[in-house]
Amino acid sequence: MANNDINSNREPRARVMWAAPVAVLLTFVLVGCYTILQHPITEGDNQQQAYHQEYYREQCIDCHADYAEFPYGFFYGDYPTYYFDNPRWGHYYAYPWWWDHYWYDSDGPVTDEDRQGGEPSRKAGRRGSLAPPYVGGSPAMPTGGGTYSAPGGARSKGGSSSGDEPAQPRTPGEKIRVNKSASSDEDNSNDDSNKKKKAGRRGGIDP
Amino acid sequence: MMIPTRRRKPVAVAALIPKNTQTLLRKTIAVVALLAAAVGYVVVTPGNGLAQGFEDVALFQEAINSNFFGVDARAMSMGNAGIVTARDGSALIFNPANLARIRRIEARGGFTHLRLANETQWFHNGSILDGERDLNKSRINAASLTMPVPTYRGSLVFAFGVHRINSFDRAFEVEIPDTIRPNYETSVGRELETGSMWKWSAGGAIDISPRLSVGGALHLLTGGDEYSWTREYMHVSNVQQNINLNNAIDIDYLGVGATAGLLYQVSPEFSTGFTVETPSFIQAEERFESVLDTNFSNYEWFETSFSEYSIRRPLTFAFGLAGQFERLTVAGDVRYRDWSQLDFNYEDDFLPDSREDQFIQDNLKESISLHLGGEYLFPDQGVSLRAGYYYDPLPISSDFIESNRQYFTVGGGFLIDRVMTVDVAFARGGYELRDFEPGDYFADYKTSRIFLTFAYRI
Repeated sequence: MANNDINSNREPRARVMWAAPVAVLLTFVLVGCYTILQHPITEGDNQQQAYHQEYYREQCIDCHADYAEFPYGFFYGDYPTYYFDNPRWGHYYAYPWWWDHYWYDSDGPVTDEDRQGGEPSRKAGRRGSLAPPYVGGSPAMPTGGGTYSAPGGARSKGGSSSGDEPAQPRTPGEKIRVNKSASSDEDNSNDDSNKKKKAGRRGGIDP
Repeated sequence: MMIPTRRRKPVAVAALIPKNTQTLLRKTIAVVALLAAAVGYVVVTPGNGLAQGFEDVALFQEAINSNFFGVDARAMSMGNAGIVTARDGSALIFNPANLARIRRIEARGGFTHLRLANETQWFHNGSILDGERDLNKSRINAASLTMPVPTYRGSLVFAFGVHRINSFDRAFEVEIPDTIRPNYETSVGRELETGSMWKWSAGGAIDISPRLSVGGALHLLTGGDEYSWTREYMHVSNVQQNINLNNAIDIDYLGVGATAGLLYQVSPEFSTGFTVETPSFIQAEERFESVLDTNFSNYEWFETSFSEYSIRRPLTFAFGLAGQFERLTVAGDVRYRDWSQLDFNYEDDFLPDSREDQFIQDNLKESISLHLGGEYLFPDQGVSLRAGYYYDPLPISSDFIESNRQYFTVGGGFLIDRVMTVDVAFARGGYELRDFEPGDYFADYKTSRIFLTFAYRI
């Protein structure tokens, strides 16, 4: 009987222990999450483009300048230098699979241009304006000064790019190393009964 | 009010061998208990004031395994540290928040090989009784599937996996002096134990800020443990008078648990992680059989029983810190668990568990394990070299420990093309136990573990 009382007293405490982490988790998930799966369609946008996220893909830097501070995919720190000499590291650890350019994204056979990420498809180009330079062909070259010229004309610190080419966020004054021989994916791919008490008869128990 | 107890029926051969004063039995039980604890079991023996006889006391409760065997070659080669640095499906075990760093669909699997060598020495009347035994086991130990969800910003990743978190594989042999039976000089005891505890996990992680990720995983625990203890009593002059005792215990485990974790990028170089593993609730079904046989009789005596009980493992807290300096990664983890809060209950209300609880409270301790490791990359070759060390103290009184459990680890990794990694690790270490009375008994365990893990990312 006493044993039952003890067990019954334990139940509320057990509930609290479970409830606390669940509550914390739900709080994080439900309140103002940083992660978004799809950009919301804002009023006044081109509805057709917005539906396919094309508009935001091209214009995202206008509003989300912090992209330049948090390179996508690599721990939100700077990409390691060796990513640029050996892009396969970046491809394996940091390049999202939904940026890949697949053969079925083009109408015909896969071309060198496809492999180099030439004309981006909707899938591959979802965030193509920020595609890191270590994969998919020649990266954007710095135009100097550590400033960042985003597609659409927005400017923010910490990046380097020019025109419509992919931008690699960098810290001011930092140089980008580019391996010319790694200018295409094709090249890159080659370098790399009766209830009883519990048995108390573990060793040594004599009969 | 007295709580009614059920007593195990005495074995029929009780009259065959004279009852003793329990001195030797207690010593033997304690030694075996220590050995079991050494490989991860928390073992319960009766305290001196509780030993009312061996028939109705749950002498040994292999309540739960305290050793984390290892689930990933990369982590193992870095001293089994992974709170921050686990960046594949093993994050389900080390820190679910790390899943948020995985950007590609990953299928992963792993194997382990264990080589265990046991040597015992029993000092008795100026002589040394030796025993030694080896055990080799190769097993599958990991499989996982990780699926990042396409995101516009941040990260959302789900993963499923199964990992062999505890190993029950063990072997032991000892020659035991017989001081109570005039015609039996010594007996040889042999133990063999095999089994595993598996964690089936489903988890996910999400970025809640550019630098902060949270994750969680639910675990279904399954496992089995097959234990056998044979003891041969040697007659001093007549082999026909030898007596053989065979005990076998078969346990099935089923339980649930959960893990929650945080991962925070302190600076471009440093990251930190924190995890809480909730108490795990485990149901155990145990079958026991004891057979005693002789050469001089046509009879053998046996006893069987079945019992059910539940175990609640205490909370586990873990903290990790890692620094990433271009090609060099350095990581350290600390894990804390207070095993004195282990809880044990029989399913049958008529069976008291106060004795077990009392023993747990008096004899089990908190444990803090330390893990350190480093990794250096050779990007051109696609190779990583790693080394580490970890100290994983046994959660029992230091009176029983001659040298505590610790391992040195080395390993390497290979990035094949840009879609596959192969990691290998080797861990070498062990521990040494002693009896209550120092200088009386020593058991040395040396283990070598090899891990092989591969992952393919689509």
